[in-house]
Amino acid sequence: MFKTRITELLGIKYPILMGGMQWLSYAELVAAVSEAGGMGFIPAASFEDPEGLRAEIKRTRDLTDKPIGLNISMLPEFSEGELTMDYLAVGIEEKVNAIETAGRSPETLVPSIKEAKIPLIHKVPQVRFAKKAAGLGADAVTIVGFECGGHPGMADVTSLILINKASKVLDIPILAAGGIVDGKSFLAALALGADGVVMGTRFMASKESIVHKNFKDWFINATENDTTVLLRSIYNPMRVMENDTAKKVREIEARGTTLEELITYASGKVGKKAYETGDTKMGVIAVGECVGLIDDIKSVKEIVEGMVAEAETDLKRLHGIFNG
Amino acid sequence: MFDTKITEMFGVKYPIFCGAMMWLSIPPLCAAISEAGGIGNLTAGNYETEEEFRAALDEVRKQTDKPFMVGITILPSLRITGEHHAMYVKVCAEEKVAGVEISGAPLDRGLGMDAVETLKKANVKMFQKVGAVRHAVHVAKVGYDGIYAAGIEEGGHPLNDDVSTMILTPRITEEVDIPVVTVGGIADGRSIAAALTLGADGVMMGSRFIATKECPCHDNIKKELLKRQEFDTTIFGQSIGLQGRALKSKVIDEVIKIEESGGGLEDLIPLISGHRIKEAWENGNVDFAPLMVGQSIGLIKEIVTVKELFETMAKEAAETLEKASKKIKK
Repeated sequence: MFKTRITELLGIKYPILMGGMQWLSYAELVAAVSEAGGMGFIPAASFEDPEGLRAEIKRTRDLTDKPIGLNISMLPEFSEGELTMDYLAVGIEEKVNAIETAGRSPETLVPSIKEAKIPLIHKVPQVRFAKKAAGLGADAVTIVGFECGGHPGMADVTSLILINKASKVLDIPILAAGGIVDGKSFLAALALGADGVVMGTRFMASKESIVHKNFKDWFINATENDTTVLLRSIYNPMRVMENDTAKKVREIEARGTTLEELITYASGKVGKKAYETGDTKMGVIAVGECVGLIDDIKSVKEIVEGMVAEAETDLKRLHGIFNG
Repeated sequence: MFDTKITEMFGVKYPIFCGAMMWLSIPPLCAAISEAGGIGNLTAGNYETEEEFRAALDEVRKQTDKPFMVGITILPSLRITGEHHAMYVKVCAEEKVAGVEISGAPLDRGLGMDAVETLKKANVKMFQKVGAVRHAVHVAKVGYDGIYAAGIEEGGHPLNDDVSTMILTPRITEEVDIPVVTVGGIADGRSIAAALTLGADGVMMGSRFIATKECPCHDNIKKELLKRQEFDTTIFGQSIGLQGRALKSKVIDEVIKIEESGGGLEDLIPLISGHRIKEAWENGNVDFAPLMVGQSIGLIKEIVTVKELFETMAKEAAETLEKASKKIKK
């Protein structure tokens, strides 16, 4: 049994969330995480129009009656523009159980979310952005460290420091993201002051994940040295798996380039195709350093229950260290 | 209070090491840390002759009979040569110091297997600072006694693999059977609890010890660290093949500008030479030379004695465990 401010806020059994992964977090995976006692998030960015999102939320509801969330990422280069408010409206109409915003300040979204009484979690890479979000009325913040897959922010501060610092200076609950993959890292995050964790990479490497088997094989074999950070030149760093596309992007960044040229390679759509065809050399594929700690492909239920069991065992081990 | 492989190996109260810090890890700080129940560090590179090095060892031993480590960095340097490294090892064996912290090249590659055998025979514990699993696996095979697993967040010279502590510590504990000590991001009771959770048997700190009353540097620098945040360090030196993490400052801006405009080591040396850094610690001017500190400076809130620091850390670590236990209710 877990009891943290996050399990209470979201009405879930375990404070383990799955981040909204574009082109990956569809109904089956999201429902599996929620069914396992955590909470899955559907990313709005996977859908070309708000009705596509609505259909996916309904599909997810058919698979689980447990709480599910909506992720709205407002990252500049993949921005859905004015559609953001329409996606939000769908989420509110469909009564999602939490909304996670990311990319920039959620300020314009806050009034509608508050009015709908849906818990708001804002994702940030720095403590000062977390403070700002708390001031705007966010119910919790996800703080992402340098090691995370996707967008770690420009300051390169790691999870170990960010979780500790954020939970010391903020009154609202903190979710730790970046480097969380098993019971040890889960418990470490709780020890550092977090009330829950968010994982992406670990759930990508699950039985329910729709990525091609070639990617799952890659996860098993990859080490913590097989990711790289791209797109720093446009002030939007992204941690991805090292592959031919990553190499190409690094080259064109080094010689100086336009945003348009970068997007040709770095667009999520290239990644989407790669997930389907299994061409692991292709696409910018968001993956965290924690991939080095992933050695197997398990079901979501096995992942979540394994983490909980390991955290409990480690807690006993720690009591031994302190009382020995 | 703590019972780990490290507290057992050294017979100490706290599994907390001080890292090798040029110009700072000298007798007063080293002895204070060991005397307070941790494991101090005497950094050999501070001494250019055998006499000076032996005198420093004596000085520490005059102040404490508790164990401490000697830090030996085996990297190309203008001042400290291979002959120095060999002398340090010889003296450590003769003096039977508790252990050595090796950084840079491992002993077998930097000095040869003889050095490993010499230290082993004298029962000097050998620890290597690494930033990658492959380096940890290598030294475990060579016969080392422990690993300092240094994440990218550490001050000094983190390996350019850029792997963070949250990943590196558990990965190394998976691959080696000797004790692993977490380095990088440790500054308080919560972080020590987190490191032990990740599988470490101890922690190493550097930056946190700078902001102690016993640290032999100018007060201005200690006060400056309290003001600075976790994002106030930066990586430099990538262009010369040895990345370093230091406090952001005017001089670091200048260093990075030189690197970006294609300047080489000879252009950088006037700004980053060891003697200039020594002068900066002494004169208290943070903009004078690179001060090698880690991201954990964002967690430092007060200047305390080493004894107070350890007591607070232990108390906080125990409270952390209590709080975590409440989150995980049976």
